[in-house]
Amino acid sequence: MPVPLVLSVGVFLATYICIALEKVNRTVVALSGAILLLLADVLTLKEAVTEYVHWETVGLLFGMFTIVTILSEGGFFAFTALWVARKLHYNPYRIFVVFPLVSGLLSAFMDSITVMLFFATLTYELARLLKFDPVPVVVAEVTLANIGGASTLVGDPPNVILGLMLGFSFNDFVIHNGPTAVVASGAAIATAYWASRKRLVLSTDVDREGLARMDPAEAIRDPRLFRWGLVAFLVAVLFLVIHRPVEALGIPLTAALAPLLPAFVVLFAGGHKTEAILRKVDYEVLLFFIGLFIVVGGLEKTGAIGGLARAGADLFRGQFLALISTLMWFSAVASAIVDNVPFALSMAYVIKGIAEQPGVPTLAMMVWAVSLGTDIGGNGTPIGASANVVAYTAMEKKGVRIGWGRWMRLAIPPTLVALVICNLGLAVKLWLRFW
Amino acid sequence: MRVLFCVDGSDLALQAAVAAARLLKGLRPEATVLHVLPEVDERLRHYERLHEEELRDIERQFGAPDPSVVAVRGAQEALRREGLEVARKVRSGEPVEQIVQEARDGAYDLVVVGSHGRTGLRSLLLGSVSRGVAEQSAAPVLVVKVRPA
Repeated sequence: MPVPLVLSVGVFLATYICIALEKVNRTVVALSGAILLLLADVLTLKEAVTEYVHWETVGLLFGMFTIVTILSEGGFFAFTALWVARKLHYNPYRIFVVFPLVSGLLSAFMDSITVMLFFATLTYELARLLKFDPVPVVVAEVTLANIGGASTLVGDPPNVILGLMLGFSFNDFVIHNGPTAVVASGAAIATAYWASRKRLVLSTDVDREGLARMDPAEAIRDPRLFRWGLVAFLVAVLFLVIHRPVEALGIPLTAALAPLLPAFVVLFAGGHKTEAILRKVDYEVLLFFIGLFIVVGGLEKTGAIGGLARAGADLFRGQFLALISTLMWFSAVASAIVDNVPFALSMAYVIKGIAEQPGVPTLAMMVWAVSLGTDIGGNGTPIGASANVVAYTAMEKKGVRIGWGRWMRLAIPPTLVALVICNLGLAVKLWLRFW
Repeated sequence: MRVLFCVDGSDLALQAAVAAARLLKGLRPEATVLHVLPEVDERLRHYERLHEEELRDIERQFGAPDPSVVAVRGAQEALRREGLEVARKVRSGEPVEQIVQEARDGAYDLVVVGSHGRTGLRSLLLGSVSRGVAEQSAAPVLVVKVRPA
């Protein structure tokens, strides 16, 4: 076996294991793996930077993170949660159903980690005043946030990777994953509500004085940033919808520029807040992506992924539904156990390789299967996705013990229902040849 | 006699501490309540740092008291009602490690921990703070078994 092949597989596995063990910061792990590959001359720096780091993905994420930071700095998330809670008359039953739906809707367009950091915190605070158990609500919010994230290109980092690396647009994701994710969300919240309905009781001992302080307008930290952040967000979504036809006209409005353009207009006009916003953008995740692109690029260059793709194609040749279903369920189980970003990145190359083989379904079907499985499967455990980790540990920090057992009892039934619906949706698409 | 009562914000740990206080109050111990905050995941710390000011504003609007202070104060009050003079301490990190460390640093004569009374596979899966403390503490350990209501 050639030495570079052994080295690339070894570095990839070591990186993957270190990320899973979480003993060392995952960005440091990914960048160390990348540096090792460069040192071993498996890749040259020029190859790494120009061929394997997917800058459009990094740019799109940077733009979306900047817009989310502007919105957060303006107080958007606290305002939204308090406004919704007031509209629901602070009824815990309604909060149980509507808060997860709102977190799902927001996570379809924004970074679900930030959405869950605020929604878990606000749900805990409301639960304290209204005297209800916040755990089933927070788990349902995370579940719906991950399902909602599957519905668009920008909903979850694995989608950005799969979409941009393999040439699928925002509209492709909305058309093909959107309807499935909407139906799966409805079924998941119904399952979660049915399972927890007996634990939700209307308390008579509500802190009315505390509720009186819950004016949504008070949550707006900077009205100007709040307004401009919303406008930037809507413009970014509009640009994502129209960027392909605009590019066809010869104007280079790429997917990365769609959020970057409005984000930087706001930063230009942001005055004294510009520096504070730029400081708060999550650069660590961007560096994590860059490191992983290089580590997985090593596998691609040495042909390790090609071999795996050929083996997969041989195993399922001619059995389209079996391959699609296996891809979805394998992605779901794998991303419940390991970080879904390196998983999606490796799978992007694997399914690209499979699609080049004869007797396999179209690449698009495989993208929808891997994306639905990767995004939704992460729900299963408290560490399945970063949004889960943040919500779970935020609650534990506040003294609300959840534990793996309770998380899994609450999250797995709606997740399984959602995945079965996704599998059925994929089967129908295959049957209709709609991809 | 210096006694360390360990609580974790749960009713079970509080019940165990109160049951032990009833047994020990005749000895007029010098008591301390210890609450160990769970280790905060690095990713949560990272995102909390990024959105520190916004989160602080939410806490301010809700007037939210620090949950660890609420837990340790609640335990302190409950033990005072049993007639004990109680000091309080909060540490953060891995519970067994922190309790053993505190027992050593404070030269306690006895460490009181609650146990859920789980056995077999369930206990193995869930891990057991009481077992870990009993095994690792240099000071004598009183494990108070409490059954959930």
